[in-house]
Amino acid sequence: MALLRTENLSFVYGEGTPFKVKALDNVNIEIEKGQITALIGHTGSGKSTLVQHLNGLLKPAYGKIYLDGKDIHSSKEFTLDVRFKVGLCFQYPEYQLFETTVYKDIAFGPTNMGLSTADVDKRVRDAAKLVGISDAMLESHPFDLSGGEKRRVAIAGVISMEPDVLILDEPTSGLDPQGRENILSLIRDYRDKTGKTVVLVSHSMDDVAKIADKVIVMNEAKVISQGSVDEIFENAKALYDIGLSVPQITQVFIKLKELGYPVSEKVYTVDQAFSELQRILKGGYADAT
Amino acid sequence: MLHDITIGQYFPLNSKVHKLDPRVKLFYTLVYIIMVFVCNNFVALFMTLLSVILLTIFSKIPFKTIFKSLKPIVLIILITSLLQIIYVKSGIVLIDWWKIKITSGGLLQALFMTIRVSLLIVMSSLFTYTTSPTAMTNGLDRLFAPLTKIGIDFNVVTMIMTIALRFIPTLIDEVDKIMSAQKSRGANFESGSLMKRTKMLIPLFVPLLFNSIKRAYDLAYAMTCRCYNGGKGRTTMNALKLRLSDYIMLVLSIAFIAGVILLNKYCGEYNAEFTFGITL
Amino acid sequence: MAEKIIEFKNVSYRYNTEEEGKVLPLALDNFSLDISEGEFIAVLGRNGSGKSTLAKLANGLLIPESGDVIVDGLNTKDDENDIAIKQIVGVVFQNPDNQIVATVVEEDVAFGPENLGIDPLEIRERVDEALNIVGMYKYRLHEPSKLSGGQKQRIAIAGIIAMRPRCIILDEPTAMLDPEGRRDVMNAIKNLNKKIGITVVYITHYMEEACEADRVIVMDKSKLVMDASPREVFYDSSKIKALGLDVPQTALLAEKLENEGINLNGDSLSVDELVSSLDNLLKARLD
Repeated sequence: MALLRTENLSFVYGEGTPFKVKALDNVNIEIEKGQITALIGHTGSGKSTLVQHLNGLLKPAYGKIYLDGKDIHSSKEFTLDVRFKVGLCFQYPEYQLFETTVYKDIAFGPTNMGLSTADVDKRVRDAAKLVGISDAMLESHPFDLSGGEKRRVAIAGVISMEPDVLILDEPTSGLDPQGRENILSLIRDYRDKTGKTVVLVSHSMDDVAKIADKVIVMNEAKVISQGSVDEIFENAKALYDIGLSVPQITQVFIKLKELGYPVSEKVYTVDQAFSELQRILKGGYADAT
Repeated sequence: MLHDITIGQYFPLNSKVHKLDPRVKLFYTLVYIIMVFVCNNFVALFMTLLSVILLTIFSKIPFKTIFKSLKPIVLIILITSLLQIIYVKSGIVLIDWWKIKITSGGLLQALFMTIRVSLLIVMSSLFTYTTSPTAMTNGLDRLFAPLTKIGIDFNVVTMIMTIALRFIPTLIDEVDKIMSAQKSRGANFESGSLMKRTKMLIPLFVPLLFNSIKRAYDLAYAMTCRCYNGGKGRTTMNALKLRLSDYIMLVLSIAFIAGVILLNKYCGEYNAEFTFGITL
Repeated sequence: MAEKIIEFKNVSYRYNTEEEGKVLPLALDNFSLDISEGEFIAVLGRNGSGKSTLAKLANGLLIPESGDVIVDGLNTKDDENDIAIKQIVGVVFQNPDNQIVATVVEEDVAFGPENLGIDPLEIRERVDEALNIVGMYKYRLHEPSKLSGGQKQRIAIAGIIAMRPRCIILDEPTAMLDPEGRRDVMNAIKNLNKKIGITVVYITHYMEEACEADRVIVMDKSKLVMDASPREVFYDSSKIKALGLDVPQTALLAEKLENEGINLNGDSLSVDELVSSLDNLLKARLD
């Protein structure tokens, strides 16, 4: 059974005003335990609204959200509990740091959970280790850190609540290539080490293709497809057409296909591209068609 | 959502009143407010009321919206009316019961005051409903431009107003975002003791302050790149220019002043005691 | 040889710190670079390598600690050149929210020309033209805060274009945008360079964007480390990785094919270039 699941979820912003916008339209998704699920869609597709429902920040207009089979709005206490069980890390989280030391900032969540000082301390140190923050850095001022380090501190601030599901909204935006790579491998390591569930929100198929087990694609408030990375890339052109970034190499193959070559669109790594070209060069037209 | 909040209470419509030059509207509003105070009898007051009704019709703003603007002061009006009714003793005694004595003079004075205060509010609301903040800033800028000649740089003030207007939605969005983020880490902004809630403002205001400082630096660089030097020698693309309708409105303003003065004079003071005895 | 528009001559720069006794390292270290009229240069380098400092030094927002920055023969050190230099070289920054001044799109674009004291009729002409170039004319009466990131960034670019600069420097203009916004901004910039001939210096973290440039410079630890065509820069994939950058997939594929003895002729870095050279290759082989 899915760890986190939505049932006919709908949501409207500004109900009853002329500015009414449908942000979620009958959304049904399932997030499996221990997997990295990517939620992709461009700005305004509803993905950010969806994740704010998953941790109970927003209350659905229609439909239900189940965590481990239990409706997250079944009681007030449970809804508050879900905030900690489903950890949500917003976009540009480094702009939300406020404490005087890195340690205190990471401790904010666990302290709000009402844990003992000893428990808080353990969680802070564990979380720091998972994101690669050294003990020395824990005592420094968050504003003295580099952009990439701040981002990791902010992620640790959510991990320290030890959520069953960790949701990260655009965790790589604004970083340089190395920084992007670091964050992605951090996420993969976190899942591998803790076995916990991760939801990655992104508009970039490049990032997603590298680490996701499952992909959910959203467009105009609806889920338009969900499946494995391979399955989603079967129709790579559709992704490109709804304004998502697909890997450069995928774009090349989409265009080659348009030129009439019998190639697959399901190409997102250099190796795949190479073997696809080899297949065509060796087999010629006869084989492929 | 938070960012749907409109600044001031501009009510965007395409009406003759909306299109008037903001300076003319500001002038008329000021004239109107003064004249409401000058009115000393019901006939003059009635004309003032009529003129604001006409203006509302031309502005296409629903009367319901106009009445809504009176909501916040209903209580004040009620209390002051009550005081007038109880304390003013002139004219015919209508009710004399126990210690309470209600006179016709008291009732009329309460009515006069109610209309007067309501007119003030309605007129200033009508001004803000029909004038966008940008137009208002533009109007003030032009109106006070001559002050530069005597060394007072009003351009800087209007620049500050423009930037404030521009950044209010951005900052509201930001507060919304930071609050959601801290709530996701278990921050509780809604309940707890006063002390606890005050403490919860730190996770909100520290990031807001730091981000705003960063924004200010960015904006300063961007403005410098666009050769901003405090507004010296600046020109304006959309210079305000008085049109026929603006001149008509100016003539009407003067006619209005004359009207109130004449009505005051020929219809006489309703009651000297209450026209000047009003405390606002 | 085209005329030089910006020259960096042994420029060093250091930011000040409020803490006493603490001296920050150089943000730019003995940096020299010539930028010629009409070029499209991409600047790469990891965060903190000095790219943004370079942008701010180029039009006198910052003044070198040592060395000179010369814009069209004018030294940025001389105060009286300030306005002239800023008219020649405009800078667009990363966060579109923080560079829009006015509450109406067209009034924001007019801000620069208004500061220059240009005649209102001409401002109108320039504003309309600038908005058309970036494809935002139909939004001229909108409120900037209600537009998307990509649209706001194009407004910011129009605000610079309306000042009719000869060179425009963009400091990671697409870093905060979604893919659609990035495509639109990139197209607007290519348009500026190819059709109008404005010199473009484009700082970015996206390798595929750098592929569109004529020349790529790479910075590392406050110094210039590479200055070559995109093809040459991305040819050495191990070196690029060591500088904290990525090699575009297109370059990797070309490299891999080359190792197998399949040579693609010509440039094959941008998607379109690779498609056409693969097209040629496949046509030749399959016939």
